Amino acid sequence: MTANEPLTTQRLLLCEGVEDAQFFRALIRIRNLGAFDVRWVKDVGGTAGISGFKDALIGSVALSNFRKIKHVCLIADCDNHYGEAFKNIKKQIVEANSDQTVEARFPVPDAPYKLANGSPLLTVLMVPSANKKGALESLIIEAMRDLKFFQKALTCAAEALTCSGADKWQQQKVDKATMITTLAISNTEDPAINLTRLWGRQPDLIPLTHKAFDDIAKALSALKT
Amino acid sequence: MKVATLGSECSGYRMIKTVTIKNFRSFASAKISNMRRINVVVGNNASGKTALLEAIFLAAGASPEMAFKLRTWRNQEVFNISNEQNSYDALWTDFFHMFDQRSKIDISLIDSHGDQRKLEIKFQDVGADLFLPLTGSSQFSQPQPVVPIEFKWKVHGKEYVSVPEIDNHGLKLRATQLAPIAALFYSTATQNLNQQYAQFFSALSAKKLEKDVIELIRKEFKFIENIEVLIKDGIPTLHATVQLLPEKVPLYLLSDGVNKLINILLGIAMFPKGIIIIDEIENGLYFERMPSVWRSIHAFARKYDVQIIASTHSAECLRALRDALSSTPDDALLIRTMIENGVTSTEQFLGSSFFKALEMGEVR
Repeated sequence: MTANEPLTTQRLLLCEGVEDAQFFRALIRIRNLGAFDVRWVKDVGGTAGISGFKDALIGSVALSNFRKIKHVCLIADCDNHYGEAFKNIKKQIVEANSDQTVEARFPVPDAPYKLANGSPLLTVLMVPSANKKGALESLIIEAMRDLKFFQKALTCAAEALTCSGADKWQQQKVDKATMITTLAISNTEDPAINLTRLWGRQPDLIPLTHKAFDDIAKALSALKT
Repeated sequence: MKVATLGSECSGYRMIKTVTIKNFRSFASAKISNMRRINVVVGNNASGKTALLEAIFLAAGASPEMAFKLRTWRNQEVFNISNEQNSYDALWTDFFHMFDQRSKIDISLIDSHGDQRKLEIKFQDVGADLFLPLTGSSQFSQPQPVVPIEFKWKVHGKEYVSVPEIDNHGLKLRATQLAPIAALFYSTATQNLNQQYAQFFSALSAKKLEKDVIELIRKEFKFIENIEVLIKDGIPTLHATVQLLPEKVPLYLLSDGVNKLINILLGIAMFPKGIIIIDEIENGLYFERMPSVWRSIHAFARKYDVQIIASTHSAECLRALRDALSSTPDDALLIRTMIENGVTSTEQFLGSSFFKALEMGEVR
C-alpha cells in the first residue's frame, strides 16, 4: 500500500489507522464485498485515529478521481462510549464543511449506520457495533474465542492482563492488549505480527468469514453508489 | 531550459486570482480561481498543462508575437509563409479548440483587485480581408485575399488590437500600446541562454541587487562561493567561484540544478510584480534538494511580489512544496488538468487540502 495509489472506485472508506485499513481491505477481498478504495487517517495533518477524520475529509477531496466517489464511509471504533465517539465524528464532518479552503460539502448523518444523502453520500460505521463498547480488536477477539488454536493463548493473555492490572483498563484497551498478546504468544514464526501484516502473511489464521464479521461486512456491502 | 520573456515593465499589475479560458487548444472552457503565490499544475500527459501556461502567457502579453514564442516552446521555431489562406491559417489554427477557426478564443485574467485583462483571438469576419502585396518573388507572386486574425486585448474598458500582416518581407506583428504584464516562461526544451542570464545578472548587479541571488545560491549550494559575469570567448557569461577549484568556472559547466535555480531566482528578481511560468519545475533538480529549492523560490517570490505558476509530474516535488510551505499552506494552489472522453477540464485545491491528500494517495 503506497501513498501514491490513485482512487479507482466509487466508494471511499476512511479508517482510523493503517491496521484497520488492512483489515477492511482483506475483509472486502475475502467476502467479495465490491469495489472500494480504503484509506486511513493516521498522520494526515498531524492528527491520528478518531481525531483525524476532519483532516482526512479535507484532504480526500484533493485526491485524483475524488470527483468520481459516490459514497464516503467513515469507520471508527466505538471506544468507551459509541455515542460520544459518533458525536466526535459528526463534529469533525461539520468542521470540515466549514473549512473555507475546501469547496466540497459532506452530508452529516444523524446516527451511525444511517445514510446521509448528498454528493457524495456519507455513512459512519462503528465497530464492534452500535451501542457497544470496544474497537475493531473486539470483533477480532470474538472470532479468536471460537478458534481452538487460540484457546490456550487467550487464557494466558487474560492472566497476563490480570497480573498487570491491565484488565481494569477501558474495554477497547483491554481488547487491544488481549489481541496483541494472544497473537504474539501463539505465533512462533512472527511474534511481532500485527494487523497491518497479518492478513497478507497469514490470511487463514483468523478467518474473515467468521460470523463475528457478518454485521460489518453486511453494512459495507449495503453502501450505495 | 528555454526561456521567453514579456516586457520588463509592470504597470499596475497585481496577482492573478482567476483565469478563464474558452476555445484555446485543448480547452473548450476552463476556469481556475483562487490562484495563489505558488500555483502548481499537475495532470496526465496531453491533459492541457502546457496549454494552460501558454494561455496565461498569451493574455499577459500585448502582442501577437507571443504566439510565436509559444511555438518555440513547442519546438516549432521554423515555419514557412506563402500567400495562401491555408498558409496563413496554419500559423494560428492549432490555438483554436478542435482547430475550429470559426470560434473565438477568450482568455481572461482577473487580478486581486478584481480588474480584468481579456484577450480575444478570432479570425475577422469575411469582408475584412487582408491583401498580400504583389512582389516579384515566387513566394509572393499573386495577390490573394486572406482573412486576417485579430488579437484584441481589453483592459479597463479600452481595446488594444493587433492584426498580423504579411508583406514582402514576411509576417509583420505589431505590438499594441498596452503594457504587458512582466512574465517569464521557462520551458522544458533546452537552449543556450547563458548570455541572457548574464545580462539579467548584470542588470541586477547594476542595481546592487545581485547579492540576494548569490546569498540564496550559496545557502543552497555550499560549494559555490560567488557568482559574477566574466567575458568568455567575447561573450558575457555567468561564472562561479567554486571551493577547491583554482579558477572561476562558467556556470554552465556546473549541474543543471544549479543553473536552474539561479535562472529562476534571476528571473524573479528581474520581473518584480510579474509572473514566472515554469514547465516541469523538477527537471534537473535532485529530489532531496527540492524542499529548500521551493523555500528559496517562495521566499524570493514573496520578496519581489512575483507569482509562480509551475507544472510538475513529480510527487516528490509536491511533497517538497508541502514541507517548504508547511506554515503557510494556503500560499500554494494545486491545479489539476484532466482529460476525459476528449473533454479537458480543471480543478484546484489549496495547500491546506492537497498537502493532506499527499498522505492519503495520488493527487497528480
